[in-house]
Amino acid sequence: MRILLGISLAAFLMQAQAPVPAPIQRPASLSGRVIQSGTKNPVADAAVELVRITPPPAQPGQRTPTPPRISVRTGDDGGFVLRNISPGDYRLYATSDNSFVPVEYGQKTATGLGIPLTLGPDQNLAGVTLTMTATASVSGRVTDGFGEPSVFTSMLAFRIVYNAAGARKIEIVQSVLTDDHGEYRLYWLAPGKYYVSAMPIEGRSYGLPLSFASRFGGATYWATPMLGYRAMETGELVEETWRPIYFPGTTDIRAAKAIVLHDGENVAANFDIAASPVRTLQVRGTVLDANGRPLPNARLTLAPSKPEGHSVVLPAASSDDQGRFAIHGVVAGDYSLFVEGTASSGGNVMAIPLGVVLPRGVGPPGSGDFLTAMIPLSVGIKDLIDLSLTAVPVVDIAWHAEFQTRAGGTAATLLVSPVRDPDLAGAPSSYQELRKTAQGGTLTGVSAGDFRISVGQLPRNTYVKSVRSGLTDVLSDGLHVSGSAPPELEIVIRDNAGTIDGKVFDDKRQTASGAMVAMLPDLDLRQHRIDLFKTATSNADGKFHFDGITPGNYRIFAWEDIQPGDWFDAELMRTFENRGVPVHIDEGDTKSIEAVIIPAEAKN
Amino acid sequence: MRRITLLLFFLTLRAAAQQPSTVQGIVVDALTNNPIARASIELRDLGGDANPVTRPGGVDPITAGYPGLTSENGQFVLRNIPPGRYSLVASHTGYVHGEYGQHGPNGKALVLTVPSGQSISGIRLVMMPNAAIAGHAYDSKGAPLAYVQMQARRVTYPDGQFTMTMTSSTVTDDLGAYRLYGLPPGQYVLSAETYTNSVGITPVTVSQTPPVPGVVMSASAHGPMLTDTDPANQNRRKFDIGLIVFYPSAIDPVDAKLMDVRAGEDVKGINVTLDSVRSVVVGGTGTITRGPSNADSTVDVLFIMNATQSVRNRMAFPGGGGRGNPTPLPGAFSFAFPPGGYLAVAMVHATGNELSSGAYQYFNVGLTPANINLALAPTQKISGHVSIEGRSPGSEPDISKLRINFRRIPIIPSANQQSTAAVKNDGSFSSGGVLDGDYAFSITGFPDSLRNAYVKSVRGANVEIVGDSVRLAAQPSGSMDVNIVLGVNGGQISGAAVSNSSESLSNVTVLLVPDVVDRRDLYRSTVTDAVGKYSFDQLPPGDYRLFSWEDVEPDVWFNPAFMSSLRDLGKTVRIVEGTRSEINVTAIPMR
Repeated sequence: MRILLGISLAAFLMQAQAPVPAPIQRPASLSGRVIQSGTKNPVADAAVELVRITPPPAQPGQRTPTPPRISVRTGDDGGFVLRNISPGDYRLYATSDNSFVPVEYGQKTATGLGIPLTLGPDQNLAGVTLTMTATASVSGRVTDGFGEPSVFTSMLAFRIVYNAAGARKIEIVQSVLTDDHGEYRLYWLAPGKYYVSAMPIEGRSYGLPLSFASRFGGATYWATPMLGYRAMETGELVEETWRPIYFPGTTDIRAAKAIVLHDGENVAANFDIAASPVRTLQVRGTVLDANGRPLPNARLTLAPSKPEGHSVVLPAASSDDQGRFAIHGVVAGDYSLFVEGTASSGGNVMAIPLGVVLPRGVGPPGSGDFLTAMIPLSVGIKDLIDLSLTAVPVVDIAWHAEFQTRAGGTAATLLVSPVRDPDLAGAPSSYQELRKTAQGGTLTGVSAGDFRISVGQLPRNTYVKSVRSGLTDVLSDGLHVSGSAPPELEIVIRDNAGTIDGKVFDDKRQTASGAMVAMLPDLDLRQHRIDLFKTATSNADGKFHFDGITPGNYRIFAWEDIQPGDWFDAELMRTFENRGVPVHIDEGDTKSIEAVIIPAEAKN
Repeated sequence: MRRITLLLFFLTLRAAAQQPSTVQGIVVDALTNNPIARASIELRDLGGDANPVTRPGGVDPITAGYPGLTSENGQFVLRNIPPGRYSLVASHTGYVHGEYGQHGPNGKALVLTVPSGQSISGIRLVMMPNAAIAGHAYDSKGAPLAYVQMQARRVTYPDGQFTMTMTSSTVTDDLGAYRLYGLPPGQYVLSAETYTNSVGITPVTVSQTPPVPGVVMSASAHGPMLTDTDPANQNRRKFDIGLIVFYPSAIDPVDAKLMDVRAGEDVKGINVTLDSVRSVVVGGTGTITRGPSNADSTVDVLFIMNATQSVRNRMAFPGGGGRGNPTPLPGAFSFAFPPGGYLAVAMVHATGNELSSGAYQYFNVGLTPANINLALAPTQKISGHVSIEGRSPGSEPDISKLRINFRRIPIIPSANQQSTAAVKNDGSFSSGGVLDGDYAFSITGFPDSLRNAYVKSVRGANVEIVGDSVRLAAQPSGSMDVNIVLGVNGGQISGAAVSNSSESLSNVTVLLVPDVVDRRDLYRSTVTDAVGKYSFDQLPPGDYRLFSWEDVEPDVWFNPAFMSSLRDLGKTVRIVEGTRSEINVTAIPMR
């Protein structure tokens, strides 16, 4: 049978759009080239697409809606022309195959943010240049401590990012396996800063998602420890697990060496993973209810205080009918031990996925009150045995809001919720239900632990002045929950929040568009007052705006290129601290600020 | 006094029953006989023990296993092993794993029984070096192609049917390079499949997230795209095509190059060129021709891709709702598949889920659109009668214990047809309804009075007998009668398989091959028992050859190339009706 030849090429996806049937009033057009950074060679057959941001103005007599996007392919000279565009605001993108990073019009750096394009009636915008960066790769050989190749080892290329809550997370960019020579190749990486980790396949688990990928970071996965058994000379069997090894060969992610990749570069990264297996310990004991009776079928989870990997390892166990438990696979370190159970014996605790909020009253038949506990623990060189834990009923916390505002306000608009502090990956759900009325609300079924109270959906130009629970200043000191309900929360909302209008300039006194701007509170507030951080992007005129600012002292930073969320990294901020603009905001202040952009090279 | 003695006796017995033992041995390379250092050993409890032993620290013995590592001289010692039944496996990079009882990688693993309080030593675990196939995938312009799924498929002949089994799979990287390793020695074909949204391949994309809600900007393996996640714009489907090409450049697996890969071999430069992957999917149209009996029924159609034997698509066509013959509508359809060979299987099920009619139709999808017609034919019952040579029908009461099993060949995983017919006292039988095709049959349920029976002849009236199969035509030509005559005195042979030094070999394959080589039903194979003995009975008289191997891939004797190289090595045997012979056979060694 003959081979099939000449299967016709079809530009299946991207075709030059045929003119729309209904004529566009005063159409605009756009033309330019797509080139490679560095060589400036044209990029042929790239897909160039124009996507409308705002809907077009109503066109009299037009029956067919204008398409929301128009696309073409570049020719051999990298050139493209887009015609018959309805005037309006757009974003322009170019994508090619994976050897180039997709680019947006207005990006200053390979992975920066672009800016919108406005096309006026009859405007013919020519000479638009889109510069694409070639992707890079990392390759190397991994050995197992005896000089032998480490086969079928899971290699990850990842970045370190921060999520909106300020927690440090790993964003996995690519995953490959070593071959029988221990060799690997990680490719199609956009230029930037990467870390490489290796994990023997026995230690690799497929985690379940804890949180999902967002603009600021990748998803977090959780998994129970993968356990192996090693026979000692005596025949005794010990449990062990595997830790990821970070290039150049450390188990400590903070000692990992970043690999900086430039356009089209290939970097060699060889290393050894002898240090991966580590002996694990056990945590054993008994869990009781508030009356001192054994609590069967309770779920016990150890959440590490400093989760390091891309997958949070959560050693866990259930208590037996005598309330006894044994948690295996614990690596030395600091943890918070969370306990969840129900008071009536014989009912199984439902396997509640982490992060899911259960409405009150839902539960297995015959379930009683929900009991929880949280205990900090340190695991060193020996098993922890004979622990005795008491789980207490969840509590309801009432709150009411006072609006010190001219316009008044109602509690029904606010979103008041308890957030664990620290918000450890692996902690069980904090509450069962949030209720509110016009005057206030109740946080029902709050679990034992330490919390901050988050107040969201504030009316425009207001800020949270204070949150008190009896004598406790919750904003600065947090709220500890255990056993009995704390005094009702008094939340005070004030208007006359501060406003800042600013402009970002470069060192040549030109306005800088597309800069990432962040406003950070005082150093001592940065760890616990995530609510005081604000961020924005400078527009085409270099302008940015913040409102709803709580009175206090702040510093404003503007970066040409930074990973969103990097401002939560205290160590990194130390290098930038003196380049921020200090600003003091009193009530009702409107300040005008000029910030000088921190250029991209300054990061490294 | 006696009672105390008895009590002490029982206590001692119980204590002895729980004494742990030691298991030791060596791991060696199958070809060189050299010891293998740092091989992983895993002794795993197979369970079923009356008194499972708990491990310290609450470690579950079934999950944990008893691990070990060989020393520099390939030796291992596992201590404190409770009595029980175990599997014992050795593994090391670069080798096919070796199990207790095997002489080579194809042998059957045996259970290691650990008795109480003893030391088992001298265990020899053999590992065969594995092989690798490596190369590149290119497009027609010579540019490297990334994300092409490469698969090494091992060629085997289960029950004589040519089958390709996926053994190792990987995707090419950005340089178009791939390496398939860990392959047991054998015969392989290599396939390359362009990216599909199949499970197991996570697309790698280089992406940016522009701050326009609902738009994700990314480049994928086979073309740039902007995916609009806004549900209102879901017409933008990701394009994929499952074009499969066999090395060097065949669409039909029949034209694939068969590669003999030896133990430890590193086969390089196996490059595949795929025509432009951004291709329009081709396809064709089809019609279903129905008879009046199924004009109103729903027809289920499966489209199976020959290359992978996987179901590419399924469709259901409702009944025509009218009389007349044939009814082309609504039975007309169109389909879009990557180029290649396919099989369409149509089935109509009557109420109560019984198959009533259907059709099998092979077709090719290529440059010109295919055009197929599925003409539904009703099922037929394979009927006939069994008689015993020299006895009149009805005189053998035990004949009703026999069962005749019919199976359509070639076997197609998703569209199997099989039926078992019971034999009546008068010897007649009739299977359930099956669709047309070739049906191989086997007889089971031989009672004691017929323990040496064999199939002496098969003749067909109004039906064709091809080799050992019944060929059912779509249009029967009359009342069918498959006449099977059984002889009662089949031959028997038994003996020992021995090594070159006349040592009995247990757990090795012994094969009996008829001189009429295309009678697959006459091939017999077995594995020698613990003392190296084999036996075959119910043998039709004739000339055969007897073979034995220390280690051989099961069913490889159906590979014509394999047998042609061995023809003169077998021991000739003549089976005469009713005779028993004792014949030893020397096993062909591994190296």
